[in-house]
Amino acid sequence: MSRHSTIFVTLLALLAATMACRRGGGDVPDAAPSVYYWRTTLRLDSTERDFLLRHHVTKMYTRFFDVVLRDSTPNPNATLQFLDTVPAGVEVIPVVFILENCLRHDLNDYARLLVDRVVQMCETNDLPAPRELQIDCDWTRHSQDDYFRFLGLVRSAAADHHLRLSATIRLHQLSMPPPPVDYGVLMVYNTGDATRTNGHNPILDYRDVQPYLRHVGSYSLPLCAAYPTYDWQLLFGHDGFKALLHHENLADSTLYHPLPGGREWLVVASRDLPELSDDASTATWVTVGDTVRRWHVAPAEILRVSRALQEQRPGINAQVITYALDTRNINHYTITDYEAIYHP
Amino acid sequence: MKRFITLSALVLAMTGLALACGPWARPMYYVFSAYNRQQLGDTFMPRLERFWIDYTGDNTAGYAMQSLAYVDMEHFEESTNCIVRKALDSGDKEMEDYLRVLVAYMQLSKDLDDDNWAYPTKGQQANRNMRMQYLHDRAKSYSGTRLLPQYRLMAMRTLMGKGDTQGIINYWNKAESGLKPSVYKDLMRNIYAGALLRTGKKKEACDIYAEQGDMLSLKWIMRDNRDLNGIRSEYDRDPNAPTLVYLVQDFVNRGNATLRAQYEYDWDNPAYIAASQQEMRQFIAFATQVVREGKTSVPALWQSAAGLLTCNLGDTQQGLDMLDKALKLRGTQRMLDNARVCRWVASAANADGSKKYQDYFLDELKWVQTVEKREIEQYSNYYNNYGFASNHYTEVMQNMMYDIMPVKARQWGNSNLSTALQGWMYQHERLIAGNDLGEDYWVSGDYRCALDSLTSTEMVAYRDYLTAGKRATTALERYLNTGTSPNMTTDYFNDRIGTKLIREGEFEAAIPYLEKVPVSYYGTLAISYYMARRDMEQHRWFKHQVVCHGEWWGECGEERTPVNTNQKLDFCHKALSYQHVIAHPAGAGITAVEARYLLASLLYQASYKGECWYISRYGQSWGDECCYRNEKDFVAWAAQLLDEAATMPNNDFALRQDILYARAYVPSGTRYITRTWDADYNLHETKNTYSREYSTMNDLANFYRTNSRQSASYITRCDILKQFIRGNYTGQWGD
Repeated sequence: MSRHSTIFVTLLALLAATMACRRGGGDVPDAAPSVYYWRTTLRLDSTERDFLLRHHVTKMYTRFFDVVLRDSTPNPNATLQFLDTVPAGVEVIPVVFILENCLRHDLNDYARLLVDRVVQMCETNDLPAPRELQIDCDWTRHSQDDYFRFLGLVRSAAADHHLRLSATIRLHQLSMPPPPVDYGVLMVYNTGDATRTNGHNPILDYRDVQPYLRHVGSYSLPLCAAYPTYDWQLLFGHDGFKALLHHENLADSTLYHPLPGGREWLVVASRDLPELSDDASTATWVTVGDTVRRWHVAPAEILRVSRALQEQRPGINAQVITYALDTRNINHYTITDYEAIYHP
Repeated sequence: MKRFITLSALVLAMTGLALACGPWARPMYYVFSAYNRQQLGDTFMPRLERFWIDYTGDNTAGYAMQSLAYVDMEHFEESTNCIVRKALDSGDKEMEDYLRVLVAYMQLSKDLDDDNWAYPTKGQQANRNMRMQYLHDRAKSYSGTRLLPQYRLMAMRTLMGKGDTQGIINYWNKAESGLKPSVYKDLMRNIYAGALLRTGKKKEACDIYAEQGDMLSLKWIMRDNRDLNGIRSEYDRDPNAPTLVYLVQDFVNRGNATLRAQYEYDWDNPAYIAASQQEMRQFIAFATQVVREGKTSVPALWQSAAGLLTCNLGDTQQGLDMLDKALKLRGTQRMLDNARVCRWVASAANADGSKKYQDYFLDELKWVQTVEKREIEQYSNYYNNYGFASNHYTEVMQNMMYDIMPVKARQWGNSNLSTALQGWMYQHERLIAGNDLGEDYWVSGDYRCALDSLTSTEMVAYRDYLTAGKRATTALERYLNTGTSPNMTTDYFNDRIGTKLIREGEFEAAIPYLEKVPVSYYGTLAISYYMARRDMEQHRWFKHQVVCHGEWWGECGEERTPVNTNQKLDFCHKALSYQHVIAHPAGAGITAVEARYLLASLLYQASYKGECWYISRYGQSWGDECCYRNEKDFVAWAAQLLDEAATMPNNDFALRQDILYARAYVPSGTRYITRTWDADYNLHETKNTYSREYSTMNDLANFYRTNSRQSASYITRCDILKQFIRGNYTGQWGD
């Protein structure tokens, strides 16, 4: 092969690679290892700070508040309380979760209220002016038009503050037109139905992702991926799913007995798990004979899904977000696991 | 026929809500109660409201207190809020000033809610803090004495509003000593406890919550310390830590609930339960050691906890001895009462029915009513006093009188005592609730079900037991019999016994009882609404007698209606006449085939599925089926008569088609289509071609195919039949 031919082939290959990277909608701006922060108070412990530092995480997608219906009108709820500072070099990207039923209301006025509120929260709490806003919503075909119209309004209001707009994309939303935002974050978690018992890991199971893979490559919006690092302890009674248990110690043999297979525990002592409420009916009742199933996603499964997505859409893992920053989740995986997830 | 489809669907949809006459869904309540359960609710609010009710003399002042946040400050003088009005109208300037501060504080707190669209700017945050500081200064500047507790509380609240945790602690330490006991001081201390908690002093905070009886806060904070290790750790810190009362009670009650569930659960491997029971045994040893060490000021608490758990782990006598000992130890009055209640409940396990036991049981029953009454008087104003059921001692009695002792009494061979125990409790509850409704108002409940389940012979015996004093020999029996029910008159018993005999198919024997019941008596019963409006001789498969569209929701039937005839008696005479024709067909005005058809129609109407169910019972529910021993299944009986009629020689074409149609309508045995749901709630349908329903539908279909031109319109237009012929019948016709 002549030198010219070699250069030509190399150029062609580079062009092809570039095209491949751009297939479907291009790249996410300022790609960097990232985390979701999904609590109601902003306070980081040393493990979480170390994690950000060790894995060079420079973006923290932070839930600022939810929008829910209260007194039949959309209202902020569970607003984040800022009790701590964010490490230098970590950009806070505000995320607002909006409940689908809010979309049925006339949202003309609310888009600006939402954007202004996010900006004000940053200002009041001494955060740098945000460069981006992310909207999270489990929209469906029924609410798609309303949601997209709302995003249009948000985008317009965001532009006044020079804010980029991104949105979360659930797997089932891949088959629908993409929302009018700058890029999307593909939520590669909560892929199954936690209340059912079909053996699939409801947090992430390749079998549940596989049917959606064909849409990923052609999805005409820049995409990055978010992978789960959390675990679930699901309580089932005789009549099926009862509750998600938070922080139950399944190793306590006076309460739980491990069942063969290592994923299920039998409840051997009854107890109520109090809620912060004076209504006893809101407590979760764990009863003798119930079972607890613990789910967490093995690193290999995350990487398997990650590779499959990468094959369909090279570049989707240019920015990986883990869900969610929490000491408990950090301890589920090794440093090597996290490096592999962030840099597949 | 479409209505049948609709009704069937409704039946399926609503079955889960139906109150069948069966086991009454009452939990076995927690027995161990060392602190008042009202403490698990808001203990402060009722006391605050009481202040305003006393001040205004207006019972709605509690609501007005919560509405103060909405008083327009710019038009304060024009406010209609009864608290503000009282202060203004009576010229109570001191109170008016306080109310202005209180309203301003409440409105500012509302503004501070972070979940508003207008997130505060730094300047607004500063302004709010300034306003809060202003209110704080106003509160501190009060120099009077009358409203000093209120202003001091305001000072604490404004510090809380500013997020000044250390300020709260400092202020409490300075202000606390100058205040007399009041709800305001208690609230201040509660805020102080919250501040301690925020500064990491969890134990100290919990002690305050426990002392104050703020069990709700305590339960939340101690949620991860509820095991034996948590109890040990608290005891090691302070043998008299107030949190121990909560932790011990919680441990014992959860332990008892666990043991009960473990015994009821079908374990494949009993080793599962070993660890949890081992912890209970370790607790008993630890509690015994605590009593022995003598460091606790309330050994009665520990001793009774160990005693009750010992009983429930199976060593009843040793546990009872421990509970006896607890009664002689030191503890609060509540703890001593609790030990006595626990002993009473635990004693049932070894109860032998002897006079000695019955006398003990009666003494305790009388005593527990005194503590029940005290609880009602003391806590009648509390928010979370959801009527009689929230009274701990009432619940204990419910479990004893409805669930535990009736079973024991039957084991002693005294079924009358078993029923009387429930009757006494039923009447007791009515008296407590001030419920003076008629005897037959409630169609369900333990006593109603117990009476419903008695055979006619047992009912006669129970009548004699109550009215003639037969076999009511012990003091307990005599005591219970005085309180079973004042409404059990002679008419009541004659009607009930006659009705039971109907249900048992003994129509002739029922007549003498029913003849003694005046027709006017039925006009006083809830069933009169239906009895006055329905005709038992209508064939159910041809006519739906709608008397009230809300019947299946229990929306009609409370309206008493005079009746002209005793349909129960009429039913007996008619049924007997048809039975006579069936037995002796010769010379009768109707054929034996027709007699079977007419008797089947009567029986079906009087059955639990018929529209004249009031002939055989006092209420109807979709979940009903044959309830008690000796009862004849009228539905099955009707089906059998129709089957017989269908196979007998019969030249009457019209009667033949009536019979075939009725056969297909009357449900009996396995249904053609059965539906099951798997663990993932997927529906599975099975078609049972061997079922009687399939056979009767098939016979009707064949008849229609052969005689389509001659068939009556109710057959030719029957959409159910058409569905069956097309193969898409969805089932449950006649249900």
